[in-house]
Amino acid sequence: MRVLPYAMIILLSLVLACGQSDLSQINETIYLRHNGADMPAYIHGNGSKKVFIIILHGGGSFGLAFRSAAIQEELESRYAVVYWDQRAQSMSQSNQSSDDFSVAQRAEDVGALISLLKTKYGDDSKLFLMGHSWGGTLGTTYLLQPGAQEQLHGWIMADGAYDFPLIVDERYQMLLRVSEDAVPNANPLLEQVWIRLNTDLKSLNQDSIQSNPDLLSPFVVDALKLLQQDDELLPPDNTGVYQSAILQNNPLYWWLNDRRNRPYLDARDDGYALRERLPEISIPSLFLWGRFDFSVPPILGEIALAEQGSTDKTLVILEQSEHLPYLSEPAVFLEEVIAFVERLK
Amino acid sequence: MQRYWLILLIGFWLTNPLHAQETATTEWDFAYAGNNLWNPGLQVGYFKHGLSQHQNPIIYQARLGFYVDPQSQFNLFSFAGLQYRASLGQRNHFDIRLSPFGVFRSFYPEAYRVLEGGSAEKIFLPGRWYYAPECSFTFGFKLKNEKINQLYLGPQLIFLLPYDGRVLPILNFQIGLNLNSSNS
Repeated sequence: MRVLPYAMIILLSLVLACGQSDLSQINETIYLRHNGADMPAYIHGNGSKKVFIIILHGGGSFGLAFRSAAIQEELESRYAVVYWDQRAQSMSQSNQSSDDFSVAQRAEDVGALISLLKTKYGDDSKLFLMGHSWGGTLGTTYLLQPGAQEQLHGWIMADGAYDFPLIVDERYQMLLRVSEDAVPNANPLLEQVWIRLNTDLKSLNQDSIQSNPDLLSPFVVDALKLLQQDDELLPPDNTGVYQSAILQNNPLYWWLNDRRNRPYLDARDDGYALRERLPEISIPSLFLWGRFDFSVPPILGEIALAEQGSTDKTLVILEQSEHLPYLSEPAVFLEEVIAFVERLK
Repeated sequence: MQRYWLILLIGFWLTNPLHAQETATTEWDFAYAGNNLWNPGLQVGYFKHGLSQHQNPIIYQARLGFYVDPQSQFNLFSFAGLQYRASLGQRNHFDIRLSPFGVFRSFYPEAYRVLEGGSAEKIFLPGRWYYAPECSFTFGFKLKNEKINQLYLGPQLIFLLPYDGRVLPILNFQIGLNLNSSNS
């Protein structure tokens, strides 16, 4: 009985004393406490060159969801990757109500995270921000804050949802286009299915789509199934992701937080749009998009390429991917990211 | 708020012996209580009842325990409340434990707060306090052993309040051993 308190103190000390001075292989968990929330950042990889890639996860996701086997092998061997749980997502904790979880607050959290990393690893750290889907919304919002772009060496946006009204419009147009283009080359067994999909789409009232974007969801699901059956789409490679989701992350925290806090749906319902402010962003940028991304159509990547104020900007379309190109075509995705980082670090 | 509950809990632990009558018996139990089954944790329980278990199935109990969420946090908690035991034949029983007095403290490996001006300062013993009532449902099986009188297993629910403005339930699975009672 007397042993128990000492055992607990030893165990607590082991958990707390997790810092390390060897940057060549970082495996740390650091919490950011900012405006009432505690948000964990899981940092893994090679920090010897002081290059950090901060990942802003998408809606309904969590930081470690990005830690696939391919990213561990290709990115973490070269750089330190920061897998961060945003406010009120996954393992983040707070005592606040959802009224305090605005986009502006979340963007401020990104700035606080950057300040934390520079304090811990040095002002000479070279930081790259990578936002996927909702993370693109968040990253774009952050970059528009005064002084934000100076903190970073580059911005990588993968299927970034920076303009929600545009997404809904373009999703419908994309579904029409893909279903029409698929018919001539489709597997004969699927041709009629594509035609029926196209016909059903045309029967929808376009005004009702904007007010109820979920009307398109069943069409997206059907289109993706048909594309996979037609061998146009590669399935996502989730190797390493399930381990991260269940063993390294706590699935109950993730699921409950996602059920109760969905900032991407709030942003969609509020018509959150940043297209007009893209010219204010001048940081070197890389845009990566899945060709069949119905969630955030690739035309948003084309608009970002055309209208963002950066002179150093590139758009790469991954031809056999939908919304998760880093899982569907990891080799191509990571090759582009590494080339971008190597050029700018 | 958290200190208030902590004081209540400590008070309950300290006064627990006073609740028992002259022929009070105490029991201890030790359990592996895995969060989501695989996040490791241990708990120790303390029971005090005045009459024999079969005559008075409601007893006072308190627990102290922890579990580790790998890569995220270490969590320490304590509860106090009542336990009801229903016999299932001569050897087995079913326990329901309700602990309205509970406190939970998470400990992070490392945390920083960002100051105005953009610098960050490290936080000492970072983590969060929660009010944490608990309940559990276990099946117990009597053992023929001098020191250990039963094996029990079953789920435990801990409710963290307030968590992101609401409540977060935590699920642990307990496998434990009751030590034989002693009179005090």
